[in-house]
Amino acid sequence: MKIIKIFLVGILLNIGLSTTAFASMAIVVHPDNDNLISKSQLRKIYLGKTKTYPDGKHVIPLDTNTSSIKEIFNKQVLRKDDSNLHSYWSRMIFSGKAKPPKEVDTSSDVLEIVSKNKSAIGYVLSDEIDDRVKVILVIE
Amino acid sequence: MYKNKIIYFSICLLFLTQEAMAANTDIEFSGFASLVYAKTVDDDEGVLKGAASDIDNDGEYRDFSRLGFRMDAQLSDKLSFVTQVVAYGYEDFEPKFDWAYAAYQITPNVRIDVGRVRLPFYQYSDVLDVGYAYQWIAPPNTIYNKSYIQSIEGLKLNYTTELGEWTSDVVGYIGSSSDTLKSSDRTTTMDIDLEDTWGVAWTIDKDWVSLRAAYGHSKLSLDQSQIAYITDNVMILGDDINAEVDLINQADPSANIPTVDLSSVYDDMVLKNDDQDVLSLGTTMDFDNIFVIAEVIGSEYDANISIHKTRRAYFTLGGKLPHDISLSFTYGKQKSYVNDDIYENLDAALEPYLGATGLIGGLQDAGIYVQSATVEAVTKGSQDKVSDDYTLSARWDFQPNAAFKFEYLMQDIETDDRKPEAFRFGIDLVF
Repeated sequence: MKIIKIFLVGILLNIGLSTTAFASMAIVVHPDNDNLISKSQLRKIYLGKTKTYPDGKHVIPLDTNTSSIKEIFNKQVLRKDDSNLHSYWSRMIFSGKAKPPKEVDTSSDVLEIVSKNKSAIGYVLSDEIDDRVKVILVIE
Repeated sequence: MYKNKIIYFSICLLFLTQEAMAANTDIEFSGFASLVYAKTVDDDEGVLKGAASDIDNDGEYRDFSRLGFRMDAQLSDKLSFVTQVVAYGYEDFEPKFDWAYAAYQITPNVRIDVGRVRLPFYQYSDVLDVGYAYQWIAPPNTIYNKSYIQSIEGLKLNYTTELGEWTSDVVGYIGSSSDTLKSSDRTTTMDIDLEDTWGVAWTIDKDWVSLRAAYGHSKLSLDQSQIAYITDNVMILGDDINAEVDLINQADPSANIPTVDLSSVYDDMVLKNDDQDVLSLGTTMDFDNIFVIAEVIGSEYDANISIHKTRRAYFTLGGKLPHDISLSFTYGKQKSYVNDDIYENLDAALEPYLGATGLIGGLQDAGIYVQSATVEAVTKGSQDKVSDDYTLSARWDFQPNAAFKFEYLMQDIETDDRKPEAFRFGIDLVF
């Protein structure tokens, strides 16, 4: 029982994760894509819980390897830290429920693919967008 | 039989892989591994019952380790083939095809899987072997006992939809399966068959909470050769009594003693194509730095000497600490109920003869008592199990795809009056 008490004290003393200040982030799609989505819908798309836009068309989410923006997106939108997300995707992959978003290297790659694929959706920093894509949501 | 299946699946795998490569389709490989050491604290308290293998005082690495590979071949926009091979240490790392199915995405929300699919009885059934996917080193033994069939050959229908802020995931399945399973002390094996298996599992979840309800039904058959000496003796007992009754009736027709029929008692003791129903409720909750996992199971079986009705549950409370460390405490309880009907029915059937010492010889009478007492003792001994499990778990994700875990376990086995303690530690990987 002593071990259990020590454990419970440890839980009570748990220190919260600090939040990180960040620049705003733009969620971008192809200019012909007329969907508008909420943060909650975006979260479902990136966690593999929904495979379509609100209009029912197939969605292809793109992830980026750029760690700084990826970390912000994961915390602000997915509300999961790195280890939580890895654990989550291991559950989804090995249960056959969903696969993680396709990863590309940089924000430029995201913009390039989104500008050419009507199903694609991606996230970049707001100051990285150009007129090849349409912004459907801004994460402040 | 099982080797034939492996050959069959290997050929399918080879064929599909070649087809996929020829068609330049997308093939993804992934895998997982768990390397675990476990040992009890005190030899005097005996073994601690584990999900797959018991933990003893010698310490063991091999029995608790496993390795798995998964292949996803996207054959077209809608058709894919998935296979997952797992090698368990307690089975000498002999590869076992846990999953091998073709998946067809009928609509974005509906998918059908055909082949060898996982039986989704419980909350963590789908990822039972993937240690990295959960907090513990192994899911709570009170529910996740590996001495049971994990997969069926059949089909599974998955329907995912949105209910406002919630995501709803309904899985329906039908199929059958058979396997030879080892007991947790690795000393005996048991053939088990599931026929007419069907069920449904419904999960709804939103940001921080997931709720799950599942019901499963099957016709269960068990090879009970280990208790055949008891079941067979019931029939022998009936034959012996009737032989004695015949002799008495022949000597004195006016006695007119009726014969005994113990076949219904025998049927109650033998699990052959008998109904099994499993109802489970589960939840996970994630409050940023605190998480809760809970599950409760009720299983009902047709009358049987070894299993009849079980109630099992666990509750986990955990907290996340900085540096990707999490701690949790799990309490689990399980209870198996005595099937009173068996020995009550036996006693009722024998009762007229127990008082008939004058008619049936004293030796026979004593034999009846002995048989009755044996059945009652074994029935009670094998079924009336109560245990409480306490587990403290620590997990440290020292790499993005690797976690080190340490656990202290204590089991309070009321019926055996034992309290074995154990510790185990290991590394879970995904790749």
